[in-house]
Amino acid sequence: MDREYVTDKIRRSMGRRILTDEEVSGWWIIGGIVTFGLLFLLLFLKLIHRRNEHFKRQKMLEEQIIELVGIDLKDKKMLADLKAIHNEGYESGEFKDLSFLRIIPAIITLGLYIEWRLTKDLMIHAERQRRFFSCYLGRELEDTTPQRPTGKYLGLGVVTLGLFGIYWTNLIIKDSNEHFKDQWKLEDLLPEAGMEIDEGVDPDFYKNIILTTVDKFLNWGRTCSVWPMAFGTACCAMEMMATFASRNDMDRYGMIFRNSPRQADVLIVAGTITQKMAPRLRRLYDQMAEPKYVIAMGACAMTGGPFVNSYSVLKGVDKVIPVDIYLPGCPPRPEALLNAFLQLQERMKEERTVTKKFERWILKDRKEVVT
Amino acid sequence: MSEELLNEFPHVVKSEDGLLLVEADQIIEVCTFLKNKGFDFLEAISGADFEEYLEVIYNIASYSKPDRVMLTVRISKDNPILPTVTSLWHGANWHEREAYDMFGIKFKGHPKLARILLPDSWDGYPLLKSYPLDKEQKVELEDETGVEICQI
Repeated sequence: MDREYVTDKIRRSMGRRILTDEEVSGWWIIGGIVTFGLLFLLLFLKLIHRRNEHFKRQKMLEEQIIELVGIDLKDKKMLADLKAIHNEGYESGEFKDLSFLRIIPAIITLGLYIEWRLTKDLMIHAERQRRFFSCYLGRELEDTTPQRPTGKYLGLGVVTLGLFGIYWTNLIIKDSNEHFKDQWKLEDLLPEAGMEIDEGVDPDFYKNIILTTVDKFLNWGRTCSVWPMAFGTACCAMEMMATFASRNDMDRYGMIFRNSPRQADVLIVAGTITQKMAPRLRRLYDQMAEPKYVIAMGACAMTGGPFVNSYSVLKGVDKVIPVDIYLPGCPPRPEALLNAFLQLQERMKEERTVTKKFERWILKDRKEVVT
Repeated sequence: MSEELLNEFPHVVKSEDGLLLVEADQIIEVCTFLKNKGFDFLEAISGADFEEYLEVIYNIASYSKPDRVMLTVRISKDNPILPTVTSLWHGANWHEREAYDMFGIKFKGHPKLARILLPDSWDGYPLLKSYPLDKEQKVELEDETGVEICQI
């Protein structure tokens, strides 16, 4: 794999930190006391979410660094060490998402359970992370996360009937914030430093649980009823028909051919597109309703294929319409088309319809202020 | 059948490989003769580029006999004009349009001599040997109001 590509991925992981490493304010605790503990529940959910997201991002970053070291392969011992330290994260359960249902035992134990768990996780994580980056950078980094005596705290919490938990929560918030700050500094020190932020991801509204749930619901509906348009122009259409016929039977994925672009979600360009056909293809694409997707099936639709030197064949449909999935083959086998659809489903799951709409609605005022 | 035709038209030559070579100004007479003899189906009109000259090949068949004849007309590349045979066989319409589309052969008297397979804005005749294959063509599509929606 290309080195630059991996570096790019690392930068994107770093750029994600504005989403994952959210700084939580200490005012939450005051709010929790004022509302007799109600806000504490929300705070715990927030902390759990923050822990999950941060650890996930770190996991990705570490994986990419290991990939990068694997490409260079100068120091085999370092690679083995990095892998060993990385795998510790799996063993200790650090890379596993902490379920939101853990809030139930937290309620029973007056929040002590979740505090104990979060402190412990952060300590394990910071220690392992320090070793990982020490190994990668080749020099010993100092341990900045303070060690908290969790057993003692637990005992104090029980004795004070949970009141000590208030102070403990404060410690968790402080420690995590410190850890994130140190982590950001450390990341900027890396040889591959540099941030790349995916545009269109707004940090403030990304995590809105109501909107993302609605989006998830919409995406679930869409992925389970992908209706392609019957648009076969050459021999790829035979394979397309075979895919939808009884042996592979795409119907079981909820994919039914529509003969009108108005009813279709995905346009399979199955076959050669001539220059005379190209504007018609564009018109059909324009007639489809949003959200719409395009699969360029076969070598002809991708690049022109065997007819690339011909006088009238369009050299790739991406000259006329945007393509989501490129499916190579001449023609591709039905299994390949099936796989393309599964890939498309993965892509559709990432769609953020409502979230984006809400974002735009909110940002409308904000942009005016900025500009 | 070809003997009969050769007797009727002394200018028609039979080549070694069995082709009937017809002069360009005689083609309409020969075709009328064949039509009257019961050749009721024009199978195809195709073109060929032989560098020095262009060739138009008429495949004419008869359902009643059955029999078939293959006529060849050679025309110059500078002035590729032939009389149309659409008055005899209506099916010749599209074949002649295709020959015009690909070779630029103009059929005099054709009801609608326009491009049939290629876009109207096409420049050049792609099956001519002189046509460069990598030539860039501009294809446009406009909607009803004349707004351009696509361009290659």
